[in-house]
Amino acid sequence: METGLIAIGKGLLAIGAGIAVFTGFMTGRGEGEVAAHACDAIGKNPEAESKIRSAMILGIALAETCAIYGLLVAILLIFVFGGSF
Amino acid sequence: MVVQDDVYTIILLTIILGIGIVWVSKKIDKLDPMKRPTGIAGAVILGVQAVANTCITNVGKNIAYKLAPYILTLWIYIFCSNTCSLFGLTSPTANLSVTLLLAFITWVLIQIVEFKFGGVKAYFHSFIEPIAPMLPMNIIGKFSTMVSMSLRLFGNITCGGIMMELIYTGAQILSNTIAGWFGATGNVFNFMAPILTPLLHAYFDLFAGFIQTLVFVTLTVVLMGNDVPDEVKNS
Repeated sequence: METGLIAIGKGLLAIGAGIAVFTGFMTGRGEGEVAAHACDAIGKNPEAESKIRSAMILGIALAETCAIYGLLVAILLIFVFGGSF
Repeated sequence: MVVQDDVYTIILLTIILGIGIVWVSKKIDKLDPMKRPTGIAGAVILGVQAVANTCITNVGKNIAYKLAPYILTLWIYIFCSNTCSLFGLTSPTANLSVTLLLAFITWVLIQIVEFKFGGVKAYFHSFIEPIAPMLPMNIIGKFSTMVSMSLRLFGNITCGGIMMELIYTGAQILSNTIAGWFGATGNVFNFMAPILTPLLHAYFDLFAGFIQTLVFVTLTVVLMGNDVPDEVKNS
């Protein structure tokens, strides 16, 4: 176990990584709302189902981008920046 | 100079896909025009028709005949790269340089369509669009799709790979503990891994790989079709 300044540095790094992942906070609610509106649309118009489904998949994957950015920053902090000292 | 693992995978993928495509094309040459095609030739024909229909509804018939071969190549290349890690190879799209280059080609295509159908003067005038001090924001906005497309593909594949590696390490520690109850010491064969990991491989490699290729290719075609005026699209 390291002591002193290096230990404080690594601890702050871990807190920073935890804050970075927080950008995925509202992703679950947002994607759930996309799926809810898609289900309503299928209920009103059952014969357009495949078009609605492909538009929904595209919308969900685009809304997931923000969460992926946060995860990428956290992984870079822990594995690349934290492994270099 | 160290050669990264991705280079070997790119060379191997190119050779295997090239041989496969030439073999399928020879099978298609021998088809009988009067009967329904079945087997691999039928599946390939369905795929080509699906891509051609997507291009025609978005960009119009004239441009679609030149664009559809590139879109089909992009589909096959990105999908095979994403699912490469099932076979133990390092995936090329887990490298930011590869995804940045693919997004750069898309960006160049979009700028060419803007020049061709909007004119050079309107293109440079759009930098000062509402008011003049918006120039820095408009410059950043031109590059934002390129950066976000490359980072989306890179982030999904790399983070999936790192999470699988963490789970494999956890399974190794679990195997060591369980084998320690029976008296073994040191590293044993990782027998908990085939129990814990198949579902996660199916999600991270197959499902996420398919969805990310669909998003990348659809975004390319739709953003190109944004600037094509309506009378060219329906001709």
